[in-house]
Amino acid sequence: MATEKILDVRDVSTAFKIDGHFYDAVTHVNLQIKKDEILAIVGESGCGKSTLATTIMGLHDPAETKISGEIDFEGTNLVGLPEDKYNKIRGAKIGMIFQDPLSSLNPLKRVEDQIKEVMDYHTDLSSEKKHARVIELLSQMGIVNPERTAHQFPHELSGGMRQRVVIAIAIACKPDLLIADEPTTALDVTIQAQILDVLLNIQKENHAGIVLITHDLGVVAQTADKVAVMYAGQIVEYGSTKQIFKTPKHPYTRSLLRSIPQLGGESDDLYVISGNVPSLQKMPASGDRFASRIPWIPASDHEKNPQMHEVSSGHLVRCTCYKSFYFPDQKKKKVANELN
Amino acid sequence: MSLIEINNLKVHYPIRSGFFNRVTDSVKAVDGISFNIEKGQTYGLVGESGSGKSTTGKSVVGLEKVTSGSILYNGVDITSEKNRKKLNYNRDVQMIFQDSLSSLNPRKRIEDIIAEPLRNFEHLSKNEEKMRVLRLLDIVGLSVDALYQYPHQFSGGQRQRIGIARAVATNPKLIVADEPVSALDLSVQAQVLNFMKKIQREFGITYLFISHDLGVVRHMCNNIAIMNKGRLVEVGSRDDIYNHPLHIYTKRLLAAIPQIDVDHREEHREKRLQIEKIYQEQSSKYYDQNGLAYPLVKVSSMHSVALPPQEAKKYSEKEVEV
Amino acid sequence: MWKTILRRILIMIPEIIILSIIVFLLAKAMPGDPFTGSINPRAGVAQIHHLMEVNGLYDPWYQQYWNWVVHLFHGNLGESYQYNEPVTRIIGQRAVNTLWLSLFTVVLTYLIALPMGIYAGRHEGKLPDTVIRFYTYVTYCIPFFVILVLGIWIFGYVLGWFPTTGSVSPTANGTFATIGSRFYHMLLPGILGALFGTVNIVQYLRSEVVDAKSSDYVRTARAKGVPINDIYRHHIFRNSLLPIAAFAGYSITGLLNGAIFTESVFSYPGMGLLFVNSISYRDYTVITALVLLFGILNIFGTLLSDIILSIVDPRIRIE
Repeated sequence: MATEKILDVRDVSTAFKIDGHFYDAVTHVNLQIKKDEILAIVGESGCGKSTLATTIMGLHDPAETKISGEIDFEGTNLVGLPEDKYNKIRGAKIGMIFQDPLSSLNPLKRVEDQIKEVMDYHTDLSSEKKHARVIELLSQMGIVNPERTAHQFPHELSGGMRQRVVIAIAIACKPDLLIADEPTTALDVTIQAQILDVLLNIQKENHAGIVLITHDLGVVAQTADKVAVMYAGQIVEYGSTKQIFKTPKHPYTRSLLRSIPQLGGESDDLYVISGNVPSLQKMPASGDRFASRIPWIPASDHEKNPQMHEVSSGHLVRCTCYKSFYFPDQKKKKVANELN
Repeated sequence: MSLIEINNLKVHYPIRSGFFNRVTDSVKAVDGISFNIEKGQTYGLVGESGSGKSTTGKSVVGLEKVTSGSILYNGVDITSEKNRKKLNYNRDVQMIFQDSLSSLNPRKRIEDIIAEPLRNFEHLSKNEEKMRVLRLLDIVGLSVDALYQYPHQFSGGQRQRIGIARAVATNPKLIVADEPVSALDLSVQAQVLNFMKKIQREFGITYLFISHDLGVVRHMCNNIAIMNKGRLVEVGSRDDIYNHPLHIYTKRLLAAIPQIDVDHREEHREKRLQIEKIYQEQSSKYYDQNGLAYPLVKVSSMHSVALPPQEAKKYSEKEVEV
Repeated sequence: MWKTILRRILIMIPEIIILSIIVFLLAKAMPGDPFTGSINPRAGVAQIHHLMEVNGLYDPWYQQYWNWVVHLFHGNLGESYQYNEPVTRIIGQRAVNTLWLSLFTVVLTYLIALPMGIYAGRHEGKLPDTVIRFYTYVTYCIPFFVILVLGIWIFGYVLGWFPTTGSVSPTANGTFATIGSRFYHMLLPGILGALFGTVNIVQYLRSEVVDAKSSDYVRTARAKGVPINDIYRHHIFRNSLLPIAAFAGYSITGLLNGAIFTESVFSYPGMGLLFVNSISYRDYTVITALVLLFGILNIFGTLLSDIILSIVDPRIRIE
């Protein structure tokens, strides 16, 4: 079934231990992913998007992190799942792609062995079958001479080729969910386009759900079905890609979109969001976390305890401040008027 | 006269091999490029990793040993160290780097980092120096407290501004900015780009802006050169490059940029795949037998493209007709 | 690769020639002569002069050097002034002793250091790690000869578990008894040498393991669903041991340096003790031969390290 829900993240928070205290890096996040769907999580560095990914993957040291909430993956709650059970899921049911393809691969192992390793733990294929699968995967990645690449070491490959190998590892066991953490950030634009094509093609064949974590709004606009915008550990806006890009509501989303140097426009100055992202230790205990970045919006326009509000079907925005938000350089007109 | 005139610049690195470790080949990082930078402008140098754009930037600052060719600064060739010394070139030309953390000495306070070029080139009293540093901090929008802090205590955007403060300390005429915003978040990037434009307006600084990001380059640069495997494939005004690209490589780069436009993503994708197909199938048409770009041919007053000889003839004939 | 190794060996030739000249000149520059004190004390100055002249010690240095080189090519390193025996034979006997002691020390060092370094790295910050780090710091702070002297005093003198001098007991009869006695004599210097030698390896290995643990490729392995013990076996250990393996070549040099201390303190008749004695007796022929030997071993050790590294690390290729 095409609309089958594979991942349901409910009220998940991840806290890191710093100097003996726990601080939330991810706060009360809710997300769902279906088969054949690409959900993009966007936000700037430090917003918690990578932490959310590694939380789903269970890669945090339980002694140093505290995770609450529920991550329902195909009926199993991943929060607090014992290592041995998690190891049955990681690599087999959930694959992950990392940002830096060079450091993500073991420098001393041949490509073939690194791809085979994931099959060693999740399949009982014979050695020949595994080899055949490695070659099949590498060809699927658009690698022209897969036998040769399989025999090479990571340092002998270009950045784009390495990332193809990393993707091959992630999809070797045909996982239902693929988490891609900034998969193209380290690559040139032309290679980025090729890698994104590869991801889309895989999805067509495997019908996996993809969580695409990126800070590149262009990549999101070109690939995602749904978008979650994160700021300071929270999701501040959630909706379809069209909703987010064509009718952005949250001040943060709108600010981000305005600060892109557009290929179309050549305005002299770009929009700058004032202030800085609060650090983990200095996160305000209550109130709107974005309020300090838009000081011209009166406190009364913010909620005391900002909730997600549905502005149209499937389009959610945190805090009521979006209703009265305007950019200081624009004429003071209410967003509501704009809409009418 | 242009501020900088680069003529047939080549930077080759020798490859040694064999029993006697003789030079058997060379890596042609920069292989014969020429362009001019006009005073007060921002010149964009665009290319993918390994294109030689950073090597070109370093050559302009004098950090790279040039194999052949010349770089004229106000008409004087600065590829020789003697000339650079005579002109005080390294005071007039400064560089901003991509990685703001590793390009600032972690053990030095901001005061010393910003004052370093002043100490090298201008002999100021303690007081004068302090005043200059404070003014520079003010220009880049940092508070006085920053003086006694260390680089790691700042965010990426703030560090990049400290790097800029250091670069502008000696009132340079030219700043070579090598990927100055690629490591920054969108909102911080906007801040740094605005700031670079502001000091350009105020002090008439000229930039050589090196980047792989065509969106940022379009926002910043008046004239742009596209570099590919050590050679230039297309040179022109912003309008030439973005609206009338002629070389397949330029077209391919432009098509690969992910657009914010959600409505036409299928069209973008198809156009990109189409150009990619042409690029793969007809590369022999656009590159010589060694896979390198042909020499540039002028197609209009500002716009030059690396075209194969038979097509180049068309343009030169046209010129004759005119 | 073989071409490069051959070229490296050819480059070593001028290195060794220069080394030999320096060694030769330094030995000559030492004040004193090999005869005063070693012959009849009533022998006059004239007799010493005569001995010096007969042995060619009044010739200009290049003449002496040339003679030495010519002899060298005939496999003749001259005769020891102290022992009146060919240098080759003297060094040959001692070299065997030093070789066995060094080999024993090296094996013991790695046997102790590898598990310790890996264990400390894996359990970073926990109690065993703290204990091991405390041990390495303490050992690092104490000079080697103090460790040796303390070791002799406690285990050899106070407790009387081990012999404190020599390489074999004179009363040992029969092959097995001799081998047993030799091994018994090596135990204490070997163990003490190994304890000292472990420090660097343990610290290095520990930090390699700690680095590898948080590396991206280990994260990738975890994302593949590889159990943590297997990750240690297949990824962390191998990658951390890499630089240690490359050390092996250099450790040859380290051992010879160590031998000078160990053998002097234990009066163990090896090359280290021979070297120290030859210096005090101005036994030029032995000194030059030994220093040259040490130098050559040093150069070979470096080459060996490079070769090992190129074999174990695919990123490094000797071309």
